[in-house]
Amino acid sequence: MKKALVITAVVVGIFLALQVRSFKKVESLLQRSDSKGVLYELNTIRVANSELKEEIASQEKQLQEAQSKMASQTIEEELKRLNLASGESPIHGEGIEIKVSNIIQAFWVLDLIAQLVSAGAEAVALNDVRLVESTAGLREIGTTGFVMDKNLLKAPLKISVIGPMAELKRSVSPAGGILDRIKNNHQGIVVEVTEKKDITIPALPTLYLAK
Amino acid sequence: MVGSSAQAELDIQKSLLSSFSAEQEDLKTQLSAVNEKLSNVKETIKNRSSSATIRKIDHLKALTQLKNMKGEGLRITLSDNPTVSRANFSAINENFIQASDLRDLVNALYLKNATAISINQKRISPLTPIQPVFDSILLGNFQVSPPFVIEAIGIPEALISAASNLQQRQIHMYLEKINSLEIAAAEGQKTIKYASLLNPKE
Repeated sequence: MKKALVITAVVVGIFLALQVRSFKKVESLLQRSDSKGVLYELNTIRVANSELKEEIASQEKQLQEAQSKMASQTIEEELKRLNLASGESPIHGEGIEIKVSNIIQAFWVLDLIAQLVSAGAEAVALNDVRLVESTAGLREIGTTGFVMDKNLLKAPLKISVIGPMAELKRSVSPAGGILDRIKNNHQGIVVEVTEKKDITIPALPTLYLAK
Repeated sequence: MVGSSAQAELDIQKSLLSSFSAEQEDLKTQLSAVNEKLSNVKETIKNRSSSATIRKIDHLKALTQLKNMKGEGLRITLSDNPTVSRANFSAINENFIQASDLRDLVNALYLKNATAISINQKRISPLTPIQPVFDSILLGNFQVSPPFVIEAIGIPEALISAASNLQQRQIHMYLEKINSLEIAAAEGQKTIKYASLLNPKE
């Protein structure tokens, strides 16, 4: 009888532990999910389609120009476009600056960046290190800071974003949005968002420009 | 009565979603076509330039994901748990692949020095937003659904460890080391409206 009770208790204990683990996994998924509603999601696809239409129109315009302009002018414009995106040169423009006082898990920063890029961010830098393919990969190291490729980024983390400042700020600020969720999951953290008419993102050091 | 009204609303939402998705398929075809024409014209003009200019453009294209990349690497195929269906709109469930799983995986692959990454044949950059929409995922502006095939160029043994976190989830994962992987260039370049060069003569 006693043996049966012990076995039952062990089985129930394992079952409960599994339930708690499973609950924690789902809880962690929910913490990172923005409950935006069906209309918001429909609008997201509508906006994606509008942006695709803009992209098609822009490429058609480039095609027409490339066929009608002098080759040297086309090359010059192509070099300028590529330079802007590559990280080889310093760039500037309007945008927002977000300061995060403490070190948080890297996935929160990735979620924040994804939200900003969806809202039109054109360039992003963390503590002045521009985020491009060669610098990508972010992980936290305890409470010391983040490692972003070969760079140690110490707190406070400064996220510089070039893009439409009002939209960028609006995209991260709603109640229940990404900044709220970061604050709700980190007691005592201070997150400041500032709109700026001119933000500069420095060029990358040459070690990141070999490919 | 309330039930039938809710059903009608759901039907409208589903019909809008399917018309947006159909429109997107058409837009993807148009974009591919114009992108191919533009690339050919630019390539012809570039090849008439000096060899220094050609080298410069090729170098910048490699930095901006506009060049095909080849090398050894890893192919990761992720599928939802086959015992459940994501047919309904809400898919926050550990049996489904979430947008955040793909975001974390891309970050982990970069941490293991992946030099190029694609998801369902779409080239990814660190600034490609990956976000959930209904029961699918938006990669940039492209709607994609599972299974997700993630390809990464780099040292396969190192890249395998990037996928280890996903092994704790109730989803299916299949890993293949590939000796010769080719990841296509991104289709076109995002239009830049707000950023400009600090020293325009550079």
